[in-house]
Amino acid sequence: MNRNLVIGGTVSLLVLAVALVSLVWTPYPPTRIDILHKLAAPSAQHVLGTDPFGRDVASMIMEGTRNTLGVAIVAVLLGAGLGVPLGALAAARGGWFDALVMRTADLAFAFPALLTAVMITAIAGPGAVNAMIAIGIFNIPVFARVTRGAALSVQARDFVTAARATGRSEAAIVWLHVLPNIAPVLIVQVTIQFALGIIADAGLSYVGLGTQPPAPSWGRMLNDAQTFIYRAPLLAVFPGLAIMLSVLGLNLLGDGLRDLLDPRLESRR
Amino acid sequence: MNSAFLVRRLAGLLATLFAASVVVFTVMSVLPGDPASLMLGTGAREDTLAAMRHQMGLDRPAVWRYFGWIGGLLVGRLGTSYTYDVPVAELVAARAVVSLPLAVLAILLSTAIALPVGVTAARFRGRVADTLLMGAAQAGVAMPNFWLGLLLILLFSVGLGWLPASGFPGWEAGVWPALRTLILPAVALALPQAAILARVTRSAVLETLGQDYVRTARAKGVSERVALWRHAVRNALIPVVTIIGLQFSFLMAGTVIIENVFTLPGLGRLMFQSIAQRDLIVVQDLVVLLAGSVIVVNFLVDLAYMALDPRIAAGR
Repeated sequence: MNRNLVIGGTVSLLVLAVALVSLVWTPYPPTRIDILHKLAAPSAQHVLGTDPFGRDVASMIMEGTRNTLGVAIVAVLLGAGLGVPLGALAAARGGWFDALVMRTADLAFAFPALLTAVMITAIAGPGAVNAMIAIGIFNIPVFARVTRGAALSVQARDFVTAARATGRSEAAIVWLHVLPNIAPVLIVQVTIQFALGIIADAGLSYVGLGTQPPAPSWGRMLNDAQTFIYRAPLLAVFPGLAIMLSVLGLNLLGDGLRDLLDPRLESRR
Repeated sequence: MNSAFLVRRLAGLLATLFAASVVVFTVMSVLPGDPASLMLGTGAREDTLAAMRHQMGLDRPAVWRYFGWIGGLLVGRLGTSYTYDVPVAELVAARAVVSLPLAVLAILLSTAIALPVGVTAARFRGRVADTLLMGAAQAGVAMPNFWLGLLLILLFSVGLGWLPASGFPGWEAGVWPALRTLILPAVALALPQAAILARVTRSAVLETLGQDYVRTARAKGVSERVALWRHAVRNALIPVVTIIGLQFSFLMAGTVIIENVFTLPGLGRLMFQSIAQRDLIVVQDLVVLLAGSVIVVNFLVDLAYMALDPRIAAGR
């Protein structure tokens, strides 16, 4: 049995479940202010305690899960949606188009992703939508590169030559033969970019550029916690644990999927 | 060293640097916001604005402005900050003495931790030491560095009171007082990077340990230590050096956030302040300097490959 897959899959499903449950239920409304019970320690009423405004930390983390997953999912969709076709086309066409796509990708890698995301959101205005775009843009060259590399090796295989010999169009070959064969690589890349997206979103909202208050976000909660770090140290722990658990789950899931889908690599582990 | 290869790589480096500067300039030029009206406020009269634009050179064609900017950059003139009215080069230099030592410290720390951990895990593959070390690495990869920074503050500043939670006294306060404030931020930056690097090192060493030349070395009767370090690790260094090079880019971005956690007056904070004040020339210079340094570091990594594996230069 693949241990990484089981643990990673379970944790990821759990995180997803928390996000979905927060749509219909949280212990308290996450934005409800209750100054009388501010900075309460964890108790039966508030399992993770309350923040400086008396808001329930558990409820905020639950809704924060949804907000963060939303940003990361859209960023991955944006990256894969544009990157995969570009990479596949670059591999199929070759020539100047291939060179153009790959040199552009090289160039994009010269800009530290998080730094540029900070710049984009700061100038275009902070908020979840701009965070999605800022993170998503840097997923495009990643998916383009991975797709191209994997597609090139598939395109050299006999069944693709056979398909070409039967007169199939290049687009049909990519769609019917290349993409299904490189799907495992792409799925693993999705889990990696998803995890990186969660960390990037947390970073952006930590510096105030991601999801805007009053909507709760993990990064923002950590920033707020820093002010009260002497009085309520636990506030700086729980949101971070939520980030770490989500990312850990996705990374394990990615490792497990890689072993499952590409057994050649397993012997190395 | 193969000189034709070197020349080709150098040409590629210059082309990439040029393209990066064009991208930065274009993006900054099409952004909304007129620097002149930002400086003079919303109440400024149109003729005053026009005079200011002329003084700042904003009324010249974009191509002119680009070459004026890039030409100045090449000779170290980065322009003048709109808000501080001092040369950008001065601002950058004053902040770089915080950010660069921080980044260097983090890279050294990360490498110093990752190499022994990765090699040990590979050597004891499948055993308890391997499982524990790689488990820790998994956790480390999943930790955002700014949260790790907070936890370090909790432990070493709030709890034990050993190291300061924030601030930077400046190097003129003495090397140790300044260095002290950089320790926690450097550790916060280094550990997640070390976790990634340790995993790469482990799989690279596992790969080379399975190669024929290592078996041959063992068959010749060299000690396990020599087989491991001289034959397996040395040949595993290429992917490891690649990742160290790539991590430089992550570190530059990471410092932006970490400097906020520890309120360090580095380049990252300067970037934030300049964005907030719409001091666009400073932002433009900073981004192109950072992108440029990433490009140059990756170029140096390529050169390091040749030193590590002469076949790379010869083969092309």
